[in-house]
Amino acid sequence: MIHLIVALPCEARALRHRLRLRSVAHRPFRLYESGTVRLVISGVGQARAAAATAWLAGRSAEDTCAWLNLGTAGHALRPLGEGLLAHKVVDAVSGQAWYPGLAFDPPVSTETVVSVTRPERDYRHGAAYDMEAAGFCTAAAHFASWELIHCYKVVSDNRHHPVHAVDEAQVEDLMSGHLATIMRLIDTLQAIAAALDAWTSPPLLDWMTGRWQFSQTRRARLARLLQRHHALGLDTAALQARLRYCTTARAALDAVETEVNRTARAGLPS
Amino acid sequence: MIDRLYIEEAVLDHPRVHALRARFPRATVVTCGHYGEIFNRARQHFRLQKRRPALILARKEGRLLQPAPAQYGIGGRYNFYFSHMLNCLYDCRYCFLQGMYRSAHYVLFVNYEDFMQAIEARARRTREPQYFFSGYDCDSLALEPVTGFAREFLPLFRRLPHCTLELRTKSTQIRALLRSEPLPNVVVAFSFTPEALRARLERGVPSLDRRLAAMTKLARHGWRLGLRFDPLIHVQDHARLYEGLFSRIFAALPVEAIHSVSLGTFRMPESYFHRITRLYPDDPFLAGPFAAQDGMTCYEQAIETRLYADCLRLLQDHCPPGKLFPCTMKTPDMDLPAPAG
Repeated sequence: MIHLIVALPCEARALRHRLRLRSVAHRPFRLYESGTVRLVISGVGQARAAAATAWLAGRSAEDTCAWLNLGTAGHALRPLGEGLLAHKVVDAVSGQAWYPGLAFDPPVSTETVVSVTRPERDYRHGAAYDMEAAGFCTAAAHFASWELIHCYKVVSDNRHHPVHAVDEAQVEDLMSGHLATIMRLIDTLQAIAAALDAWTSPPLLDWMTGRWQFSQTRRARLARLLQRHHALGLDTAALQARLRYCTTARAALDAVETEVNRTARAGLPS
Repeated sequence: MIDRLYIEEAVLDHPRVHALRARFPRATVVTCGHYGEIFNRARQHFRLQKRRPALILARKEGRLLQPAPAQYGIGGRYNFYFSHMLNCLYDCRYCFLQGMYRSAHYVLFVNYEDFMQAIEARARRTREPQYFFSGYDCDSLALEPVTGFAREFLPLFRRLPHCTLELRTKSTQIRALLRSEPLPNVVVAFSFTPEALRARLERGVPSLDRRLAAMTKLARHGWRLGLRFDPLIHVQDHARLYEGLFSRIFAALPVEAIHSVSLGTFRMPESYFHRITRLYPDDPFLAGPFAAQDGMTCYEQAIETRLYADCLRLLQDHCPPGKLFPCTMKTPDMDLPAPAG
C-alpha cells in the first residue's frame, strides 16, 4: 500500500486520472483510492500536510505503508519542470531536519527541500522550497520507517520564473510531465513495503489464529515459531495437515515448536 | 560504491573530508549538524539501508578509548578498543552491529589525531604491555582504501613498542601493510567460519582462498597474524567442516607467523538478538536453537558445550601450545558479543 499526500487538486489531477482513483471521502480531506494507492488532498501548508497524513494513517489498517509527498517547489537554479527527490527536509522556522532513507537508486536528482510558511521569492540556500514537506515528514515518521517516506517535487518556479507567475494549468502540466517517474517511484516504494510484509508475515499464521484462540503472548510466540519454521525451509503443507489433528491452541503451538526445535537443533545444513 | 556522503557541518573543512569528497566526486553531499541525526534516529530499517549504505563523516567526541571485555583479550592485562568507524562493509548475519545500531550507514570519524592522542596518553600511563583493538565496531581494514586507517595509525604504534594494536578483519585489503615495514607489536587478525557457511552467513566477505593468499603475503612480509574462530556456528557435521577449515589454514600459513588463535561461541545481548530477528525473520541462522542466558542469547547449553569442546579439541591438534586463547564461556564479565571484524 502507498499513501500519496498532495497539497492541491491541480497537482494531483493527472495522477488521479492515470491511476483511475475514485473519490471515497470529502471531509475533512478529499480522499481518492484504487487498489493499493490512496491519495489525499491536504491543502497548502505544513499543518494541513501533517493533519492529512495523520488522518490517512488513522483510516488505514495495513501494517506496512509507503508514504509519498508529491507537489511543486521553487528553486534558485534548477530549471522549470525538473523533478527532485528530497534527501533532506528542513523546517525553515524551527531548523529541524529529516532525512528520507534512500534504499533504492533515485530516479532523479536528490535535493534538500526547505519548507517555508510563505511562498519563497529569494531562493537563498540553493535548496528547493515548498510549503508541506516538513509537516508531512513530522507526521509520517510516526507511521513508517524512513526508507518508506519520500518527497518528490517538480520545480515550478525559479529566479527567472517567479512563483507569482505560476498558475494552476501550468502546475497540472508540470506534474503531468512527471507521471512516468512518479509511477516508477510508486512501484519501487510499493515493492519495498511488500518485501517488508513478506519478511514478517509467516505462512499459516492467519489460518491458525482463525482456527484456535491464542492470547496475545501466545500469538506472538506462534508468529515467531512459524517464521522459524519457514526460515528453516520446513514443509508448510505437511505441518498444516498435522495440525488439523490438534484440538487445542496449546497442542497446536506445541506441535509447531517440537518440529521447529527438532530441525534447528540438528544444525544448519552443511 | 559510495554515492551519498552525509557530512557534519563542523568537519566540512577537515582535510580528510576534502580528500574523501575528491575520492567520490559524484557522490551527493548532504550536510547535517550531528551524525546522530541520521545514524541514531528512530524508525530506520537496517536491512533496507544495508542495500545502499551511505558514508557519514563526523567527529568523534567524548571517550575515545573503551576498556575491552575480558574475553576479548589475547593474554594482556590492559585491553582497550577504539572505533574510528561504525558499521561494516560486509553483511554477516551473526554480527551484533545489526542489533546494536539503528542504521546500516558507515560512520567514519575523521579526527584520527584525537584517537592517536588518546592512545598515546593511555600508553604513557604504564610501561606494561597494553593492547588496543580496532575491529570491534567495524572491520579494521575492509574500507582501508577509503579510510587510510592502517596507513595512518601504524606510525603511531611504531613509536609505542610496549603497545600492541590488533587489526581485525575479514578483508584482503592489505596493501597499506605490504607498503609498510612490519611491526612486531601489530597483529593482523582474520576471522573465519567454514567456507560452506561464508556464502550464506557472510555476504560480501572474500573467499577463504583469497584471504589465505593475503595472509600468506603478510606472513612473508613479516607481519604477525591472528586467527579468530568467533563465533563458532552450529552446523550439521560441524566437526568435519571445522577440521577442514583448521587444516587448510594451518597448512597454508607458517606457524612462526601466527601470533595468537582464539575461538568463541555465538553470544549476543538478548535485546540485539530480538532486534535482528525482527529484521531478518526469514533467516535460517537466526531460526537456530538459541536460548537466553543472563541477558545474553547463546546456543542452547548442550549444543554450545559440544560445539566448543569439539572445535577446541580439533584446534589443539593444529595450534602450537601457548598461542591458543580460548574465549571461556562463563567469564563473569562476558557482557559483550564477538567483535564485528
